[in-house]
Parts: sequence; C-alpha cells; structure tokens
Amino acid sequence: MKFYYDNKRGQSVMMFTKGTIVAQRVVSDQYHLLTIEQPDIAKQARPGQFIMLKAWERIDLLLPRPFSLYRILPERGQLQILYQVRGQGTAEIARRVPGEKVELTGPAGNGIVLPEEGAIALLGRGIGAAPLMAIAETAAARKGLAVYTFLSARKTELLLGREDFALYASRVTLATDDGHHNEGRLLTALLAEMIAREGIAIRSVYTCGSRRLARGLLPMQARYGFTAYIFLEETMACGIGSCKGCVCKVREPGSPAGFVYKKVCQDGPVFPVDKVVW
Amino acid sequence: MNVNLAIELLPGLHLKNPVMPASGTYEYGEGANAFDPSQLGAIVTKSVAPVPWPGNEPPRLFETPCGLLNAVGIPSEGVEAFRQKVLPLLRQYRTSLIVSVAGETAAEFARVIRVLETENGISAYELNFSCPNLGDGIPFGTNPDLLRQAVELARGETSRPIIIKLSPNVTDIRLMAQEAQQAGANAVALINTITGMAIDVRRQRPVLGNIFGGLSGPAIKPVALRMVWEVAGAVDIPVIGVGGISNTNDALEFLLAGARAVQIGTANFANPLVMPEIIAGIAAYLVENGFSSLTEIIGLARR
Repeated sequence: MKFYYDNKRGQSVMMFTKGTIVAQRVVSDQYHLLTIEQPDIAKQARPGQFIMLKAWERIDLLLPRPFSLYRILPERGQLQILYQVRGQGTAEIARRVPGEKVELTGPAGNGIVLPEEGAIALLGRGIGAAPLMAIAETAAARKGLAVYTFLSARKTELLLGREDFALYASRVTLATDDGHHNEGRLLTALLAEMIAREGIAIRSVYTCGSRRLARGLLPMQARYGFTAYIFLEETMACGIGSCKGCVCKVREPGSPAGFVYKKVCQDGPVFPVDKVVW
Repeated sequence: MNVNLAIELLPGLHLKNPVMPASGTYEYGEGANAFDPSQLGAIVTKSVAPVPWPGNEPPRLFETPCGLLNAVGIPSEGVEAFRQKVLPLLRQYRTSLIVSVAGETAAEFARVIRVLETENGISAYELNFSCPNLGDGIPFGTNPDLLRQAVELARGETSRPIIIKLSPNVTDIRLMAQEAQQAGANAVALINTITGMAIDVRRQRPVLGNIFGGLSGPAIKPVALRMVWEVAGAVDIPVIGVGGISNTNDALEFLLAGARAVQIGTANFANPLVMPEIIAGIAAYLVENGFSSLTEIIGLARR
C-alpha cells in the first residue's frame, strides 16, 4: 500500500508494505546479506535512502529497524541489505529464510545527488561499506563518473563487499588494522596520497562507519576541492519523521545555540561533514 | 457497516469516532501521512511551547522489552510559528483539532492559550502537565497545588474545553484528576509515560542524553488501564484513555473501563496505519457483538 508522498523533496513515494525474502547468506562471521523482493520500493529507491524492516511477530520487539540499502535492483524488483547481527532484532532477521514475509517501510530518507562526471570517493569502515555499495553501482552506470573505493576493517575477513565493489569501482583500496593491507593506515591518508600522487580530481566523498574518518575529511575538503558527506546513524523509532527521536546536531549560524537538531530519518541520513556538529 | 462510532467526548465536542493520536507521536500535515487524517476522531498536536525549544540532547530513544524509553523533550517551533505555519495546515482536515500545550510554569501555559484564543478551528486544549523530560522534575503533574493553580490560570484564558493530561508518576492519580476537575478542567487524559531509565554497562553511563526518559508501549498498558478504571470512577468529567494501546483489543479494554475516547502513541511508530485499523476494528466489534453505537460499551465492564 502506498501511503506517503514527500512534497518537500518530491522525490519518492514512501510505502508501508510487505516483501518476501529471496536469499539470506552469511557473508562473514556475524555479517549477513539479505535479499528481499519488493518491486515497488526497488523501483523508487535511490542510493542514500533506507528502509525500516520488521521480520518478526513477537511483540516484545516493538519497533522496526532501519537498514541502509546495499544494492537496489529495480529490474529484479529486489533490495539487498548487508547487516551485522548485533541485537535481538537483527538476530530475528538472521533466522528468516527464503519465502518468508517481512514488513517494510520505504524508501525512507533522501537520496544523494551524484555528480554527472568526474570522480567520487567512497570511504567505508567495517559495516559502513553497506550504503556505499548502492552508490558505487549507480555511479558506475554513468559514463564519465569514476568511483574510487576505500575500505577498512580490523582484519581481512571483515572487509565487507570487496568483490562487489571491484565490479563497479575504478579501484578498491583496502586497509586492515592488523596491518595485512596497507599497514593499517587511515583511509583518509590513503585517499590524500592517491590524489597527490595521481592528480585525480575528486568531486565528492561519501563515508560511513566511522566518525573519525568523517572528521579526518574536514580539513581535506578545502585542500583537495571536494565536498564530503557522512551517513549518520541514530536510534530510530519510526523512520518517517513522527517520533523526533533520531536527531543530530547540524550547524546553523544565527540560531540561539549555533546549531539545530535535524532528523536523521527525514532530513538525512546523509549530511555534509562540515554541517555536522562533532 | 451500519454502526455509530460517533461520541460526544464532552458537552459540545462531538467526535466522529473515539480514536486520536497521543500528542507527539504522529506527524501531521506536510504530506507525511499514512492515511487521510480526516478519518481520525481528532487530531492531537505535538505540544506547543510558548517559545521555540529544540528538545533534548540525543540519544533520545531506547527500546526495552515491549516498551520504548524516550527523552525527546518536546521540541517545539513555539506558539507564534505554530499559529502562523502549522495551524493553517491542520485546519484543512475535516475533524476535531486538540492543541496540546506545554510550558514550564503556569504562566507559560496561559500564554500559549492566550496567543491561540483568537484563532478559529481549535476544538480543545490538552495541557501537557506530565512530560517528564523538561526542567528539573515534574512540577505540575505530581504536585496538586501547582496543578490546580495552572488549571485555574488556563481556565481564565479560555472558554474552550481544557483537557488535562495526567502523569502516572504519582501515589494516587485519582487525587490529581479530582484536583483538575475542581479547578475547572473539562476532561482528563491518562496516562502519560512512566519515568524510567537505562544504563549502558559497556560505557558505564546512562543511555539517554537526558538520563531519565518516559516509558511507553505495551509494557505500560495494564498500569494505564488500571488508572483509567480508577479515575473514571472518581471524577464526573470524561476520561480519555492512553498508554500502550497497540490494537483494537487494547482500545476496547479502555473504552469498556470507562474511557470515552482513546489515544494511540507508540504503536504509530511500529505501524503507521494502526489508527485506521483500530477504528475499523472497533466498528467490527460493535457489529459482531450486537451493539448499534459506541456509547453502549463505554464503561460496560464496570457493571
């Protein structure tokens, strides 16, 4: 059932509906890849948006959980989410098998606006790789837009989606804290090194999974001429702007406190790093 | 279905059905609706404060088994912006409009009402005396003297109906309801959230930015129902039932206990279509059980 038209942004119809699980695959340790068939949302969704997912009948788990979109597959009418089994909600989702129904609200939040040409960089830490994949895939469909992906994690097995990124990115650069890849160096340093060494002009940088990475991008913006964005996370109850729970502080000169609260669900989830109050 | 869901909530205030959102749990206007709000018995706004207020420091939410702790802290655009920008949007819906009012002092409640008095399209005010997330405690909802003073001051500002939303964080909620009635309130709504907290053992810190929050959801429903039962037997003014109502059965329990209307809160977050589902569910229950009108079941369990 379609219920929601977002007039302010005019970009998507939000739906409260059901989907069917098509595949559930363990990627690594506690990381799973879930494929859901829901053609209406798959056709509407854009990189940067998310879904609220409920995959259980038990009433003690009250609220749906937000998930970024790992892949958006409009032709197949499917969505993929890459998630970490962390609490009771994700443990329930991990128990679901193909054929089972789930409740979905989406596409929620705002899609990002990619440049038409040039180059972008994606910096993902751990599970932060998840929303970046949808960007890589969409960007790859644009001729003349190069994607440079940088992924880091504690160890090699936790570098998520490397094979998928390799399909769409011009290059995938890895770093692991155990030093196995690139001596565990910071992704921001590796990005700076690539720009300096090869003279690649990066227009936009998207990062997820580490506030430290996002903060590291701040001083690099002016120096390298890119705009950096972060996917923010906050606990959400509804995902559609009703509860006002998922707020973050966003700079607003002239306001009494110098910042205002923005809803991650409705105003985000992607924000320019220099607008966020860290 | 040939059944009458309409109810006169209080003298002169007729609702097309008894279902309305609990204040602050339902985003109205701006196109952000799962259904046409005109279907509701009434729209209850988020609480309007005298001046703009950003709300509390995050994290603001923490889910508990069958419940939700929140310390949102009533963010408000302030009464002036509400009057100019929000009220015109809300007037377009063909249902009753109840404006929830917040304040930190009795004078602030009166000030919000004064600004709104000249505006048309407002059916009633609901005074939020029980949000546990503001200031240094819960002044109005738990202190009978302060409650009476605030109601009397508000009463002096308006001839419109005044509904007092009561806090459950008291020893005997009947005394607070009686105080509200004596001070001139036209109805009471109960319960607001029950004060609670959670601690993150990994970080050794309270989870919520505000430390304390209000517990809502199915976990508090039995407590809310007991209090509605008690208050409905202790005052002569109408009672609106609220607290953990998640489905038709829950709503019916409150109506059977004596509530003339119900408010749905946290359940809106889990299911944006829950309110129209409950409206249809109540109608179906009346038909299946041979009732022709909603009024026949109000307080029926008290026989």
